[in-house]
Amino acid sequence: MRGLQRRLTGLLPVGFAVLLAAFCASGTELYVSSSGSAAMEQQLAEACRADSGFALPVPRGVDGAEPIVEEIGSRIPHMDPPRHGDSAMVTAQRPDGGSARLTLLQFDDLLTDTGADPAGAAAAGTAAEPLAPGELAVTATNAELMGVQVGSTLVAGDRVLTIARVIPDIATAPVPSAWCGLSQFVLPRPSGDPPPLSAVAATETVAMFGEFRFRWVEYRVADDPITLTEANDILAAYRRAIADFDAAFDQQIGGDIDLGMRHVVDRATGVTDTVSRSLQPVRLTSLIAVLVVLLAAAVLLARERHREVRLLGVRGVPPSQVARRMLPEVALVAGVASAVGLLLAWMVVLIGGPSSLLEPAALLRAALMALAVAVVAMGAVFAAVSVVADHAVDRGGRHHPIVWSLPVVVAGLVVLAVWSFRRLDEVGGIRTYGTQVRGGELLALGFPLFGLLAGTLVACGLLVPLVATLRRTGGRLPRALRLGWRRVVLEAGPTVATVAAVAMAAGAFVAASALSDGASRQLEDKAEAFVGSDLAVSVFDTMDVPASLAGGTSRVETANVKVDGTTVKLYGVDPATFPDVARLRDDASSLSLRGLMHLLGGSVGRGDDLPPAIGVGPDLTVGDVLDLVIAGSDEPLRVRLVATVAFFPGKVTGLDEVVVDREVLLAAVRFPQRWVLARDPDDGFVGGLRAAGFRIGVVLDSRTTFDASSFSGLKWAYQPLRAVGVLFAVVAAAVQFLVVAARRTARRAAHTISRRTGFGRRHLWVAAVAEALVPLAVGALLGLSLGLAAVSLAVPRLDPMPLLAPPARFLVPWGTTLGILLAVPVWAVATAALIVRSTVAGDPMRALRGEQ
Amino acid sequence: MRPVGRSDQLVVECSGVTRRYVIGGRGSAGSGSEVLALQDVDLEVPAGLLLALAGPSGSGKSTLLALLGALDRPTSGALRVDGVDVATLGRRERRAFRRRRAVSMLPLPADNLLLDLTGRENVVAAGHHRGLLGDVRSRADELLAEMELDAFADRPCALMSGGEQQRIALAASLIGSSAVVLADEPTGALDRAGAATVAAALRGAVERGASIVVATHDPNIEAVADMVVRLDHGRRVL
Repeated sequence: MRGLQRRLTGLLPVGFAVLLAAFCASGTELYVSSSGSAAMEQQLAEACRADSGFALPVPRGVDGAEPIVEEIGSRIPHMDPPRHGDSAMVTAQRPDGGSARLTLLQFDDLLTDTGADPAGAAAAGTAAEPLAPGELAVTATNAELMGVQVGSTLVAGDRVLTIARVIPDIATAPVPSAWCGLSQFVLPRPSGDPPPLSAVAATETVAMFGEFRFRWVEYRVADDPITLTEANDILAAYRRAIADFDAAFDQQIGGDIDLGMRHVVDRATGVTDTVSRSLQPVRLTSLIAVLVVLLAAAVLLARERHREVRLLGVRGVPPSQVARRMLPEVALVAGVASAVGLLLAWMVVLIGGPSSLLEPAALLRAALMALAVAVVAMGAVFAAVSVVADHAVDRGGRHHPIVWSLPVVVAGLVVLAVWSFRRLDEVGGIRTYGTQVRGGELLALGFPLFGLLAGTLVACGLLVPLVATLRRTGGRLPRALRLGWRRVVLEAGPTVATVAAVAMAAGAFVAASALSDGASRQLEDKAEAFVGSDLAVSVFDTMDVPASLAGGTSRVETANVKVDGTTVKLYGVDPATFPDVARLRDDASSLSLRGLMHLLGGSVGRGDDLPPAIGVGPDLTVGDVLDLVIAGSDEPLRVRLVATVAFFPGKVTGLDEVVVDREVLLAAVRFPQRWVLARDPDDGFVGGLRAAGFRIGVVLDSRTTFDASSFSGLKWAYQPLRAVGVLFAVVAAAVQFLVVAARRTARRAAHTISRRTGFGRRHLWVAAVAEALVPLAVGALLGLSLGLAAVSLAVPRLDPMPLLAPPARFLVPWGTTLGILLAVPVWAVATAALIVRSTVAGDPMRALRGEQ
Repeated sequence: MRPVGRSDQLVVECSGVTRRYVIGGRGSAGSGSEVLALQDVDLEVPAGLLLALAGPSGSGKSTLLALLGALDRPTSGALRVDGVDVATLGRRERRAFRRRRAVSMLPLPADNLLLDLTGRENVVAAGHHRGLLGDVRSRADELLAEMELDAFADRPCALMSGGEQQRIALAASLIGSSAVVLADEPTGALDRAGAATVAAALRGAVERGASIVVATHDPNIEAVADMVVRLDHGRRVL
C-alpha cells in the first residue's frame, strides 16, 4: 500500500500537467460554445422577436386553412404559442371629406403594449376593454393626421367605423414587442415622413373587409436562452415549415418569407467564428506549453523512479518495456486528472464564460478532448520515460538528439515568427464586416506568441555562453550570496531553462493582457468615434432639446456633399457644446478638441472671410479651400481648412469629412440629417425627447452599437489568452521544481558539510533567494520586453476594422507589467523556501552517501 | 603470465583500450577540459575467475567496467567480451548485449533492486528481464538456496540490510546464462561484516562457475580474487 502511495505521489506532476491540458483543451471548446450562446442571447435581445420568429399566411378561400397552418407551425421547436394576426387595407372617408388609405390591424396586445409609460397609457385608456366591432383605436399622431378624435367616424365603403380610442404614439426606440412585427406602421421613413396610417381594430371589424383581408399565424422564439445549434435547428424547421406549407396549399411562398432568424444566426455565427479563430493561436500555444509541462512531468517521473529506470537500463530492458511498466498507474492518474480538468473547465466556463448555456455537442467534444489529452499524456510519458531510460545508463551513444535539435528548433521558430509577421502585415488579423468574419489566419494571429517564443529562445541561446563566462565571477560577494550566484552560473542548462520558462510566462501574460485590454479599449474607442458620443439620437425635428435634458447634449447636423465630384461628409457641430459631449484621442491631432472648436468658433458673420473648417482625411491639408457642392443648391459652400485631424468623433465611413460650425451647415443645407449627441444620458433620455415632441429615428448607443456585429466577439476572444500566461507560469514553476529536485542530493550533501563551518539557516536562505531570484528576474525582464515589443508590432495590424477610426493603438498595460515585476520577488522567496526545506529535510549521513 | 581459469576460453579481451572524456561543457562555451580515463589498457580474463580491479579513486576502474558492460564505448582500442566486439556495437545491440551476456552491478545495494519487491521476486524479475523462459521461479529458488539466501527471500528488499540487499542483487545477477558479472564497488557502502558476506558470496558464485570482474578497494575481495589487476591514472600497473 505504501509502495502504491509512493508511486502515485511520484505521478502527481503528471496528473497536474494532464489536468492543465484537459482544462485548456476542453475549456476552449466550451468557451466557444458559451460565446455562441451569449451571441445568440444578445442577437435575440437586439432583434425584434417577430423578426427572429416566423409567420405563415392563412390562405384566403381555403376551408380549414388555419388549423393546417397551425399544425405546420407546431412542428417548429422552441416556439411560444402561436399568435394570430389579422389586417385589412381600406380606403376611408375622413370627417373633413378627404380620403385616407388606412390599414386595420388586429394582433395580440397592440393596445396594451405601446411602449408608452403606464400612467400615460392608463390616462389614454389603452389598458381597457377590447374594441367592439366597428370600433377603432388610433395613435395620437395618426388621429392628428386624419383629423379625428374619439367619437369621430370614418366611412369605408358602406361601413361606418367609429374612433373609440386615441392611444399614445408607439415607442420607436425600441419598438415594443407587440408592434415590432408591424414596425412599418410605427417607424418614420428615412425621409422623415410619417409611417402609413393604421388603426387597431377587432377581428370582426377586419373581417368586414374580407376581400382585402390578410391573416397570418406568427411564431416567436420562446424567451428561454437557446444555443447556436438550437437556433440552426429552428432555422431548418422554418424552412421545412415553408416546404410543408407549399405542399399543403399548392403554393410557393418560400421566396416571400424573409427569415430574420437567418440574420440572427449569421451574426451569432460570426461572433463564434471570431472567438474560435482568435483562439487558434491560444490553442496552439497552450498545446506547446502543456506538452512542455507534460514532458517536464514525465522527466520528473523518470527522476522520481530513477533507481528503477537505471536498473532496468543496466539490465538491457528495452526502453519501451521500462515505460510500459509505468503505464497502468499513469493511465489511472491521467484518467482522473483529465476528468477533473474537464469538470474544472466546465465549471469555469459556466461561471465565468460569456453564457452559461453550453451545447451538448460542445460538451461531447470537450469530453473527447479530455480523453485525447489523457491518451496523449500517456504517449508523452511513454516517450519521455523511454528516452530517459535509454540514456540513463548508456554513455556510449552519439550526442543526445536534443543537443543538435535545439538550434534547428530555434532557427525554425525564428523563420516561423518572421513568416507570421509578414502574413500579419499582409492580411491583418480578424476583419469584421458587419456579420461577416474574414481573415483570422492562424499564422498571422499567432505572431505575438511565435515572436515571443522565437525571441526567448534566441536570447536564451545567447545566454548559455554568457553564463559559462560568468562561472568564475562573484568572488568578492559575501559567502552566502556567492554560493547563490555560483549555483546560478554553475550550470547554464537549468538556469537558462528557468529564464526561458519565466520569460515565456511573463511575456505571454503581458501580451495577453495588452491584447485583451487593447481589444476592449479599441471597441470603446471605435464605438465612441462611431457614435460621436455616448449616445446619438437621430431626430426629424428642429426644436430645441428641453432644458431638463439639455445638459451634456449637443446638436449635430450632417449632409453628404461633393468636392470635385467626390462625395464628402459635411459635419456641422456646435463649437460651444460639442467638446462637452465628444472626446478626441490625442493621436488624432496636436490640438485638443476644445482647441479645434475654438478654430471653428466665431466664423459666422466675419464679412467675406471663408468659413473655417476642419478636414478629416489623408488628402486634406491646412489652407485648402474647398467648394462643397450641395444637392439642391446652386451655389457651392466654400470653406477654408484651418486644421486637419486623423479622425473625428462621428466619422463612420471611409469618406473624407469636413467639419464646420453647424450654423454654417444649416445656412447652406436645407435637409440635413439631425442628431442629438448626449454624454452620460439618463436611461429615460430618448423617452424624454419623444415626450418633448421629437420624432426619433436611429438611436446609437456606444455601449451596444457593435453588439449586432461579430466585432463584439473580440471582447470575448482575447480573454482566454491570459490562460497562456498562466500556463507558462506553470511551466516555469515545473522547470524550477525540476531544478530544485535535481540538485537536492548535491545541495543536501554540501549543506551537511558547510553547516559545520558556520553556514547556518540564515545563510542558506540568502543563498537560496539569490539562486532563485536571478533567473526569475532576468526571465521576467526578458519576457516583458519581448512580449511588449511583439504586441506593439501586432496591435496596429490586428485592427479588426481598419477603415473605422480611430486606428488600433498599442498601450503598455502598466498594471499587469508592475504586477509581474512585483510577483518576481514573491515567487523567488517561495522557491527559496522550497530549496531550504528540501535541503535541510534529509538525513545528513544518507545525503553524504548520495542516497537522498 | 596468463592466469589459469576453469576453461581456456577468454571471457574478456582488451587491447589498447583508451577512453577520453570532455567534461565541464561542450562545444559552444569552449570551456570543456579533456580527461583521459583509460590509456592503452590490455587485459585478458579467462572464464570462471574472480578478477579484482584495484586502484585508487579515479584510476579508471569504473570506466573499464562500464566499457566491459556495454554501458560506454572506448575512444580507441579493441574490446571483446564473451567473443563479442563490444566497441563496435550500436545502442540497440549494446542493450541486447547487456540483457544476455554481461550483467553490471551498481555500487549502492539499493540501486540493484526493485525495493518494493521481495528478494525472491527480485530474482524472478531479473530472470524475466533477461528473457528467461520456463520455470523462472524454480530457478530463482535454487539459486537462492545455493547462496543460502532463502531465509530472507520473502522479505521486501526495502527492509533488508545493505549486505543482504547486495547478496540478493548478486543472485539476481547470476540468474540466466550471462557470461560475466561486472560488479562496481559491491562492498563500498557496507560495513565490515556485510562486506565479508558479500565477498564470500562472490567467491561462492565463482566456485559454482560464474565469471566475475569486481572493481574494488576492499581487501576482503582482493583476498578471495583469483586475479588482481591494478590501475593507476588510467593505466594498468599490475
